[in-house]
Amino acid sequence: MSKKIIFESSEGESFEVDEAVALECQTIKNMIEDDCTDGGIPLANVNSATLTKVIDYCKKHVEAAAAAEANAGDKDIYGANKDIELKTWDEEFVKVDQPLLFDLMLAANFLIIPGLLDLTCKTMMRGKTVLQIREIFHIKKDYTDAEEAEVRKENAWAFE
Amino acid sequence: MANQEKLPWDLTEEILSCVPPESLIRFRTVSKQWNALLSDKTFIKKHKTKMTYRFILATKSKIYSVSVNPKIEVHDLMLDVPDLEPHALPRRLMDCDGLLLCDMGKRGMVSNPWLKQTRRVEHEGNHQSFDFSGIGYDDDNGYKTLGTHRTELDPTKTFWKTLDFSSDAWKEQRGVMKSSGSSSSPSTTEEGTTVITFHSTSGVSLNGTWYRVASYNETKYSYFIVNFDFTKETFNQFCDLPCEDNKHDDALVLRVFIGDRFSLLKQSHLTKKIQIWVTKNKIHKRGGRDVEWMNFMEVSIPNLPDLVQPSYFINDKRLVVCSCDTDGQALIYVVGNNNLISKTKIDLVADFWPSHCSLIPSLVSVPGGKREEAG
Repeated sequence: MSKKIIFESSEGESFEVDEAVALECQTIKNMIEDDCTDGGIPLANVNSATLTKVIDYCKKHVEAAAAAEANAGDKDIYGANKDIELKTWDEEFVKVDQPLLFDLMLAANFLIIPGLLDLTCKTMMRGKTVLQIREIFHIKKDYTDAEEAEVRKENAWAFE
Repeated sequence: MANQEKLPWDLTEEILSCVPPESLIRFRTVSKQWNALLSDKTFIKKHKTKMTYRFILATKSKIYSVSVNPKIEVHDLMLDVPDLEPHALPRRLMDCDGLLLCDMGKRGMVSNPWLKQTRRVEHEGNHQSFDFSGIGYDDDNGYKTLGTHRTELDPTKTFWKTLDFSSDAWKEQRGVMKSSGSSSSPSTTEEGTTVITFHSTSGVSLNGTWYRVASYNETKYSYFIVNFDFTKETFNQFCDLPCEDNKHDDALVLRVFIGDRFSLLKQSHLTKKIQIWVTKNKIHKRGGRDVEWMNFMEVSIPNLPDLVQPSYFINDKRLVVCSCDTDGQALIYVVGNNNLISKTKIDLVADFWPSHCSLIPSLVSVPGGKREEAG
C-alpha cells in the first residue's frame, strides 16, 4: 500500500491522500524530501472547501499521467483524445464562483502547483472587464478620466 | 482565505504573466502600475517563457493563428496585409524573438499579431531579388533587419544589408557569401571572407542575435550554426549541430526552446525518421563553445512523408509539427511517447501551400521608426 500524507485545513479538518498525489505540490514534495511530514501537514491558510478541490485536481492529474505512462509502449495510435479529455476536465474544474477561484489560485501559489496556478490565473482574467478586475484585485483607479481615455485609445482594438 | 486585502505585487505579476497578450493588453487601463508592468522588459521576457507557441499560417490574402491546446483552433488574425505583388516570391514567415517577420520578396512586414501592430519594411534599390532574412537588435536595443540580394553581374554571390529601424537607413554589410543555388560549384574565397552556404530552412532570432544552419562550401553537408551579431554586424561560426552525416535534403530546423535555449529537428530524407535535440543550457551569442546538446526525442512514424519546410514547437513532452502534404494542404502532427498522437488537416478556406512558422505570443512591441520609448 502506498504511503499516506495527512493535510490539515485551516478549520482543523484532516484530509488523507496518497503520497503520489501530495507530490504534485512542490512545497509538499520538499517537505517530504526533508522528512518533516509526520503527524500531518497543517495548512493554516487553506480552508476545507479549497483543499478538497486542490486534492481533486492533484488526483486527476496523477491518474492522467499514470494512464499516459501505461500507454507509452502502445503500438496503436491512441489519439489526442486523452489530452483533450484532461483539458475539458480542467475547464469544468474551474467553473466555480469567484471567491473560490481566487482561493484556489492562492493555494496553488502557496503549495506550488504550476498547472493549477496557470489554470486559475487564466480563468480569473478571462472575459473580465477592467472594472471587475479592479474590484477583484482591490485596485483603486489612479488614472484621471482623460489619462484613461488616452491609454484606451492607444489600444482601441482590444476594447472592441 | 482572506480575499479582502490587496494581493502581494509579485503574485499579481505571476498571475498576469500567465495571460495571453491579446487579453492582457486591455488591462493597461486598470492602473498606472499595471500599464507600466506590461511595457517592462523583464516582465515581457518572463511572460514569453510562460506562453505556448502557436502556428502562424499565411495564405495569399490572410494570416491565421493556429493554437494546439491540445484542441486545434484556427483564428483569422484580421491583420492588414499588403498584397503579394504579381510574380513575387511566396511569403516566408520567421519568428524573431516574438515578432513575426513576413518576407514578401520586395517587401517585408514586421508584426506582433497579438497586439495588432504591423510595420512595413521596404528595401531600397532595384535588386532582382531581395530576401528579408531576420530581425535582431544591438546592445542598445536598436532594432535592425537583415536582408540579402544578388546582382546581375555575378548571380552566384549574395550581398547582405541591414536596415536600422530607428533611422530607416540601409547599410551594406561585408559578409560576402556564395549563393545557395551554386553549392556544387568549386568554392572561391574573397579576400578575408569565407564562403558558406545556408541550409534551406529559415533562421531564428534569440535575444537580438540571428542564427541559421549553414555549411562551408569545401565541406558541404558538414552543417553548423552561424550567427549574425547585430551589434558588431558580423557573421560568426557559432556551434556544431548535434548530428553528423546531414544531407541538404534532410530537414534541419533550428528553433528557440523554453525561453533561451535551442532545439533542432532533423528529419532524414532517407529514413524519414525524426530526431530532436535540445541544448542543455541557455544560449549566449558569444558562448558557442559551451553549447551542449541532449537527445530529446527520436521517432519513426509509419508512412510519414518528407516534411516540407516544417515548423514545429515542443510543448511539455509533445512535439507539434506543421507541414504541407503533397497537395499543399497544411497538416498539424502531434507526436509524443514515440508515437503519432494526432494528424489534423487545417482546412483553410481558399489557398494551398500556406507559409507557416511557430511563434510565441508576446507583448514585444513592433519597433517604430524614430518612435521614442515610453517613459
